[in-house]
Amino acid sequence: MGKQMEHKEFLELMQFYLYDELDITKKNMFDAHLKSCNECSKEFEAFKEFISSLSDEIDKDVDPALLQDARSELRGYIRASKFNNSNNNSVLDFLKNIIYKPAGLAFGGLSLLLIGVFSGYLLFKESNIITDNNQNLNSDQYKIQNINFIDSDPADGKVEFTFESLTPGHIKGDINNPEIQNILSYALLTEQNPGTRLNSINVINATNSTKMDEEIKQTFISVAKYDVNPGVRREALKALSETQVDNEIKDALIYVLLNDTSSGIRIEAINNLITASKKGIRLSQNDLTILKEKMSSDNNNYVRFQAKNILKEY
Amino acid sequence: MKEKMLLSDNELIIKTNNGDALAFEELIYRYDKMVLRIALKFTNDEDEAKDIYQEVFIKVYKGLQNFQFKSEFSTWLFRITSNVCITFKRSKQKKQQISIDDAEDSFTSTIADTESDLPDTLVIKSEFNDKLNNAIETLSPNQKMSFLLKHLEGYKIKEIAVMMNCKEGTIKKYLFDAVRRLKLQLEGNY
Repeated sequence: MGKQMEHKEFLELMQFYLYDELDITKKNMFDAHLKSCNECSKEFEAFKEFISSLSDEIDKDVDPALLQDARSELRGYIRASKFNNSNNNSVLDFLKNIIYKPAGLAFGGLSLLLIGVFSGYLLFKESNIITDNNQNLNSDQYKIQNINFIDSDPADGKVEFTFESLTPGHIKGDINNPEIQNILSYALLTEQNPGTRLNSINVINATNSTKMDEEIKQTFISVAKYDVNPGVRREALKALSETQVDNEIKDALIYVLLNDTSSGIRIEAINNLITASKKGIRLSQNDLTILKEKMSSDNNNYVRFQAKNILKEY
Repeated sequence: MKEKMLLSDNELIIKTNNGDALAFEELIYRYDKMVLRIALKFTNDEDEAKDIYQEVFIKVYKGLQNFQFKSEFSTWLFRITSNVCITFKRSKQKKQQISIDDAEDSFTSTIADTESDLPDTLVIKSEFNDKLNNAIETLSPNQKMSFLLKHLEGYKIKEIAVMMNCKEGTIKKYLFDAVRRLKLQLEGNY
């Protein structure tokens, strides 16, 4: 028979026994002592209750709003960092252009940066750019937030909104203007207000272009997968399906189908997947495995039914 | 809901390093809730937790190009989290010059009386939760981080040792002392 365990050693090991972190020899000795010693057995039960209360009471939830907030700030940083490293077509360059170009018209009293109403292909002509002062801003001043739409109706081909950075801004211009779209896609990742994010999607999506800008596509995919608001996720998904679906968008549809908790959004995803498949987008073996799983396990009848329909084609 | 994975962490890292921003996003969203949860428990303050979250992922973003695949991504991430939290706490303590005695005083101060229409059991649970949070606050940064990685995230001592760059014996000591300290402070409340 092996060495007996002393009370002191028993008490020292209780915690690691409960963690299941003792080697087999110590564990056996511990069990033997537990059975044979009444005093230690009582002590052990009380300690077990304490450890269990720690695990039960420690709050494991994170407020989804806090998580969204933290993610937005991080996206803002990463996006800004990408802009700072990019040489062309960035929000930063765009804003610098607005500020450095000579004023065509001054608006007294308001600290507004106003771009004149653009039309057709006459984008960024100096005469269209209006500013009330020639400020010398550095890149840190371009953290755009609190976008407020004045006109988000795409019917007339124009969009108008204000925003806050270190200097408040006000932009009015053609919805096809890629820089305006860039600002809105930035807002899509960083704005707290879901209404603003929805408006941004709708405005960006109302452009005449048949092919979505790569940066905007990445943003829409990110929003469709991760935005906390189901309405925003759904709109992003719709916008993606209205463009030319490629393998990246197809992968996003599969991801949403697999992970989204909203059955409405999964339905949107599987419908879009069917359309993409009809247009010649090939599903990989991994995609088919996921669809097989969906066919048998999704809690929505329609998703199961459509998964089966897609699989019939393969 | 745990996110279902299409690609492994390492595959996402390779894609990220090839310029795929979505892959980076997918990678961090697998773990960011855990990082925020630890930061929140560590600081007991939402704004500070967000600062830690930002710093952790900015370090990850900047350091991913040099990731050697010698350890799991999650281990590397929690090592960064652990470093950022402990450094943050130490620099805050330095700034505010809070003594351990002060911290203990703050723990022993009574829980604020609040009017509530919650059932009694929930109020008691919530009070215990507050007391537990206050007691966790009094632990040293290393004790606290070991405790959270064990009791909040359920990591094994061996894993925590790698994350905190310590010997297993050191982690055992931190855990042992942390739990003893909490037990002493919460006596009669559980």
